[in-house]
Amino acid sequence: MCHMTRDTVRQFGPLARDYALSESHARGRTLAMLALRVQPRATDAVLDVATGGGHTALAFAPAVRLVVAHDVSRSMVQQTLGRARDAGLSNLRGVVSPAECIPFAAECFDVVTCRTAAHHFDDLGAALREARRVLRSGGRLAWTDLAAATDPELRALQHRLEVLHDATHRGTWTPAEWRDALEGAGFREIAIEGGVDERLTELPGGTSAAEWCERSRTPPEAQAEILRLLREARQTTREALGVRDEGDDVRFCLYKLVATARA
Amino acid sequence: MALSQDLIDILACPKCKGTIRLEKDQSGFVCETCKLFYPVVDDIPNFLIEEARPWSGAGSGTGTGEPAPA
Repeated sequence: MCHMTRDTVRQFGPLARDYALSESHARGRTLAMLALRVQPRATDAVLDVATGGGHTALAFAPAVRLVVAHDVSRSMVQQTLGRARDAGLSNLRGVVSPAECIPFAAECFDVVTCRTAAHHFDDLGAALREARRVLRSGGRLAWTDLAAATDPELRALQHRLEVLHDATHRGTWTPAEWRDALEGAGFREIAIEGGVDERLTELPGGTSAAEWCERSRTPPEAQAEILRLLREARQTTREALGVRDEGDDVRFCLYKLVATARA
Repeated sequence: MALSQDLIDILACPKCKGTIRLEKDQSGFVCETCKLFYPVVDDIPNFLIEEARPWSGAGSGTGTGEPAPA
């Protein structure tokens, strides 16, 4: 069944410009990792699922034949296409749909990317099955997302922080859970890098809670609760999340993972 | 600006995954199986099923069909 995530559309429509300008989205480590793992070819057709600020779509476009920027929010797609025009890129197209319900024929893409968006999906398994369906045999999947800790207490705190930050957050998964989900969707040659244990983050030095909340228009009371939870976390949790007090702000680590596989 | 043929060629109905047809005026795509009209707004096809309009079938195949009144 296909779902339209109305909350996600409402949340991200007005934020398209902020995500386009976000440093962690524009220059984060996982963007380079996606390109390195995929090794794009001039003949490739690429689908960038939930393109958001369009950083992945724009990064791949100069190296491939075609990129389709997909998102459930029309504002995000519109902005990505505008940025492509400004950059002189003529091979970028756009469509609007949920990730769980992709409007393409089977086996028409060589690469499916998705960066830091799966935690908003209603159904990760359905989104991965759709990615598998539209990939040609041997096609490459390269997705990054927030990584869940295996420790239940730390994972619960990560989830609480994310939901406070953005009510459209649905969930995050451990590397083992990603592997299971990819296997369940029919992928092979699965590799998962990063995660909490490897402390993979987009930028060195972690994330400013204030900037993180500002980008997503987190309500002030939710932002205050985020700061309180980080400041008052037990020492082992603070160390695990790399929490650092900085005056009125707190820096901490949003851990990422990179999942690659073949159809 | 017209929709690009390389995109049109690979699109399918998000619901049944079957063939869809672009209206001659490029106002949207029709799935004759699901009887749904998916609008194109500012050259961006909108395949949110919840926002698709019922398709009456009138003029099907001629490019002159109209979405049923919402």
